[in-house]
Amino acid sequence: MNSKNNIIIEELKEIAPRLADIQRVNPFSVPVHYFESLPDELMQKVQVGSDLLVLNSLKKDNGFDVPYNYFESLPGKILDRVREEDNKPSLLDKILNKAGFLLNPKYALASIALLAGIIFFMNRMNNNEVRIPTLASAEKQISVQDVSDYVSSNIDQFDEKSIVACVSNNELDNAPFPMKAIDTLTISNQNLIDINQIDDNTINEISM
Amino acid sequence: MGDKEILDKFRDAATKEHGFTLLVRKYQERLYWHIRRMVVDHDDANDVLQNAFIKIWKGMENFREEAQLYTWLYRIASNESITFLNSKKKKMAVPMDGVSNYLAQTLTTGNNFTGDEIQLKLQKAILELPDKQREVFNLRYYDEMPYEEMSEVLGTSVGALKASYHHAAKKVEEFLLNH
Repeated sequence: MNSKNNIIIEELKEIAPRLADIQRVNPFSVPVHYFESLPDELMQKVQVGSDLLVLNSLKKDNGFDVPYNYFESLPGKILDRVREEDNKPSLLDKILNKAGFLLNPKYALASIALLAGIIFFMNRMNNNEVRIPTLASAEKQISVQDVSDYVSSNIDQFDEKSIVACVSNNELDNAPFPMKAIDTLTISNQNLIDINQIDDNTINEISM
Repeated sequence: MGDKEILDKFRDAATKEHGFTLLVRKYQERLYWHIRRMVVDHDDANDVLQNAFIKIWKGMENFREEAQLYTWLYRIASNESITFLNSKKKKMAVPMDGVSNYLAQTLTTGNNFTGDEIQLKLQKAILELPDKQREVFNLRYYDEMPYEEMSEVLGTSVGALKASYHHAAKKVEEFLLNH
């Protein structure tokens, strides 16, 4: 055991005595003849690498050729192309040129008339799409007899009482359908509206 | 054969390849075991070792003799090992303890581990250390490298290396006591 080894063991005993007690062995193994064959294997790889180095040291000529003065004239050609692109009319310019005849007075009037017609037609189309019936138009289409038949067949006694409770005697007398037939005696006094409590405006609204 | 003679042969174009073969024969085992303890698996160690020697071939002409040849070789092997482990972490996309688990599994699944149960436990304890600390521990414990040479290899001060080895040995001891 040499002095270097002793120093390391003593150092370890001070730091980690349990670890120092463990025998220091190499627990790994390598394939058979690994170290015998490694130098030759490495030499082969290095030689391949050297060939690549030789290849890299060769002049990097790609083997293709270009026309005489190609690169000298190329910038000028590119500049010409750029200028040509700049001078080309835009899409908007082309449309305005094509539609320029519309500014002629002969065609302008016809164009305006055509445009107005299109707007009017589209407006009509929109109006026809959604038609919501109003109360006034419904009133014109339904006859008094229709209302009378509907009420006779669909409103029960409770409904009649409720209606009577909201209508004055004068209105009952002038009703266009036979409301007089309703048995007014079955209605309690509480349900009747005191006509004296209704102001003139309300009366006018009801009678309208 | 001494390092100087090997270097002289390498610098002569006629004997360059022979000089390199001599260098490989002289240092292959030391560098291999240093790498193997870091990456655990033999195939990985073989790849890392060959990459290290190819770098040595390319860099030998620029090697200046003020430094010791073997500390320079160790530095290249060390850098290659750490680079390999870092790329392994990136590929596996796992944190540090994930890689140490993977390396610990490699110990038992591979057929190149011949140690007994205590040696297996010791290796698992060493694999728990962070890469740099593990390297310091291996260089001191297995390779018995003086701190001054280790400082040249790792580019770290002697004081920092002593502290690092001290912490590493304590952690290994604790692992052995608790597992």
